Amino acid sequence: MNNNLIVFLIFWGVWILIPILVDGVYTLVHVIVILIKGQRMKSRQYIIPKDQMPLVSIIVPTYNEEQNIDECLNFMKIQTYPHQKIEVIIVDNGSSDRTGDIVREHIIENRDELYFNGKKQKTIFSGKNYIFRNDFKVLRIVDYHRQNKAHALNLGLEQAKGEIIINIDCRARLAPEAIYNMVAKFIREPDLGACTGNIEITWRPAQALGQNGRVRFLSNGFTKTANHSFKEDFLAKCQFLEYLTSFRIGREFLEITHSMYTLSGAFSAFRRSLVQGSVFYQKDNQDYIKKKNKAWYSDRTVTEDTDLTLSLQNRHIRIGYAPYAKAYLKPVTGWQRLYAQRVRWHRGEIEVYGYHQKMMGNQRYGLFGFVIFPFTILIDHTLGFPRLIWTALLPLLILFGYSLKVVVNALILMVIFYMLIDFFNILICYPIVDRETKNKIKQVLPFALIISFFRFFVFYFRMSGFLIALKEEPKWTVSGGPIEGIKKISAKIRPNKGQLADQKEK
Amino acid sequence: MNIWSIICLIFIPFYFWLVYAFRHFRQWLLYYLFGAFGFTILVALIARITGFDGKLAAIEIFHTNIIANLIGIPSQALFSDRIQLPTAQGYSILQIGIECSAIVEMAALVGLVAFYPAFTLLQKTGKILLGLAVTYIVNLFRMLIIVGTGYYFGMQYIFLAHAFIGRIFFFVCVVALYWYILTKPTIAGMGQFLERGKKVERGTTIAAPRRLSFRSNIFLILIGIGFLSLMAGSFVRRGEWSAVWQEKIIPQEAKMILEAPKDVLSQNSDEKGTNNGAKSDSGKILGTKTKEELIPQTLILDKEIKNLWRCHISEAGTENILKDKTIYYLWVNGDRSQKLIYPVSSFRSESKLQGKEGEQWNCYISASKETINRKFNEQ
Repeated sequence: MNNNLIVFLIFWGVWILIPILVDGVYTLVHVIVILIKGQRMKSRQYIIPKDQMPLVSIIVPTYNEEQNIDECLNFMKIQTYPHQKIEVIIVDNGSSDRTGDIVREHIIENRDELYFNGKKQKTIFSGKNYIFRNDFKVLRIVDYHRQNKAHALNLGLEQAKGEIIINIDCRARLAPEAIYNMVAKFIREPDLGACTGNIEITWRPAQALGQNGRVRFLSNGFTKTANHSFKEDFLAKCQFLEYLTSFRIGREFLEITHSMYTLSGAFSAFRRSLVQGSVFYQKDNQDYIKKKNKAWYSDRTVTEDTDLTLSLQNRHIRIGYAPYAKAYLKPVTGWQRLYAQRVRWHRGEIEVYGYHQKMMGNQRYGLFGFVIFPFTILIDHTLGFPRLIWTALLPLLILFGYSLKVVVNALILMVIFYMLIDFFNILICYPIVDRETKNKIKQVLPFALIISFFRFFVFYFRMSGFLIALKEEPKWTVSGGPIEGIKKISAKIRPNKGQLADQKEK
Repeated sequence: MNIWSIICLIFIPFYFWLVYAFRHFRQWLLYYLFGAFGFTILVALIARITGFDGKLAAIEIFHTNIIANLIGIPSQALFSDRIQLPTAQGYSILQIGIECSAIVEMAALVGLVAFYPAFTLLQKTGKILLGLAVTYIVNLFRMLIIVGTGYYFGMQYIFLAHAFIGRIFFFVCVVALYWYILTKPTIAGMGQFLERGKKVERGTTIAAPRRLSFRSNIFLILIGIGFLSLMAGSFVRRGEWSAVWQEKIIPQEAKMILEAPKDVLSQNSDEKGTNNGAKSDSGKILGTKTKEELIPQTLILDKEIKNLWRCHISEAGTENILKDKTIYYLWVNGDRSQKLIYPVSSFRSESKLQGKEGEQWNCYISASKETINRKFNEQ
């Protein structure tokens, strides 16, 4: 290596020293731990002995989900786990749309068929033949109180009889082997109390919806694929990469280090005998404690799944990750909705950290309490402040005497650095994912070049969540984003034409 | 009134109006971003216009010099934002740039805490004062790392100390500070607030937990006031204090080394804060000579540091150094000659010198490299 190259590397290396220190080292530690300890994850699926198959209760909370509930139930019908051992509990949280009707159709009329929009369908996955039997019991509960997701989940738990209890989001579609693999994980690891599934963002099949909000079909029986705009495509594929890293690297690292701090709300499972009786909230759920002690979820924060996870950690219940139990999740394809989602997540995050602050830096909780938990807060919250200032300040270094060329090159270098991290993550994930995901990775590779911009916005959404938590009432829905805010302000400042005309008349 | 002053005059009212509007309409991200970020820019601009950053740098240099002297580094604070330091290669001068002065970091800290939508006014005041004091002290240590590296290991490691070690040290300390004054109280406050069973009402300010009591905040404020007083005192009386310090406190040995030129310091500074533009005492000698002339002198070996000798020229003066001219040395020790290819005061030989402390060698100096090379070949 010649001197010029060394000087070049040193000079520019200084600019990205802090990103290398924080994000580079962070990624590297994850990857090293997975490479050293994660080998056991590669052992293929476990075959469950027939006499050891427990009853599985699947709880699906819904609220105005007429666009999703059809698919959600259909994907349950193709599960390879014996249907006699499955019970599905749909908790309708007081929907005002056709959600209730659709569920009823599935229960009464179409027990043995896939059913879309009044038509019987042959397949969901092209080229694969799954048995579409619906022998499982579907129970529909209506929560007339219309409180919140935690309340709905607790209602479902009251009715659940299975030893393994699975919660899934209505937007999630379970892969055919998802329940089988999830149960297998519990059977193989008797000390496992809870487990999160592997969530994968999918943009195919992306169904076009009819006017009535239900799935549309082509003459060949397949669902009609919706056309994506570039924005939707960008958001969907960036989220795919984000989830891929988060689950295939992040969750695996957390399982190895016994430090899981978030069970996915979209697909997670619990062993009743270990969790039951361990998790309850004396202050918030007095009524549930009276009722058989079945309240697991609390509505004290807007992220009941993270709250429950930390409660389990607090009671030293082991939480794992099942990479082969896969669920597909529809991406959020609008900036406004993405903003709302991320604000809710991070507002909930800070609230949950507040509740469980005693675990922070506490040796009683092992590596999780002493290292992972504080470090997560440090990365998410503390480092947000210098990032906030420096991402905004970097272009203004020109004011302080730096040349435009240096600043632009530094910015380009940072984007390249983060791009390399994403490529590195993909490289690590590629050998350990199944063929279907490999195909998806090939399709999204070009988006790895621009995912830094997605992460940039997501970072600001996260900070917004932290700030909103300090000032606004906790709500499940988040209205307005920065753009909406600016529009609101400009609308207030500039009276509309009608008002101007009125003023002139006066 | 220059262009920056005009920009400031237009920017300031608009900035405050914008921040007020975001707060009024409860757009917390925009409020915080514009508030903290705008404040940082504003302070940096005002500092640049008024020259406050230079004055702050001078105080920092003054304090760094005192600590450096106390730990045995015979450095000298110069009249501006520079510190002179004897190194293995000779005297070197380090200059504080806007990055090393930490004025942007301090402004950012004030902005981030002042506009943070939590904590009471008293808590914010305490945190800001504590934060300023800690940032300043951490920055002093960062500069000490740089000065110490130059002194003990040589100027060739200054870049490493400035760009890597100093930066990492500063970053780690600042993150620890943010953790202590922002993250920890936020989480603690949030936990206490929610555990009381209350929902956060609109407009409610989440206070830091009781752990940071009224008394604690007063204590923090007192620390801050003490820090500000020290800064103000240093700012006003720096010249007098500096003279007293040099007269009474600096060890005799260090004082001798410090008898270095003071009037040649406006040269050879760069923009990045570090400066290897060291000065020699040979200015007087070369002052009246032509560039090609070879001047015989005596080189005295002062001290060996890591296989290198700190030396000085026997007839060294402090005046009339030739501007923008590089001075080269050749010294002769019996049969062996040593050629210097480094400019001015870089007394580093191309091979290890075998000598004793106080030893005197014949030496030639010139402003022409070719002249030195010619003489070296003759030897």
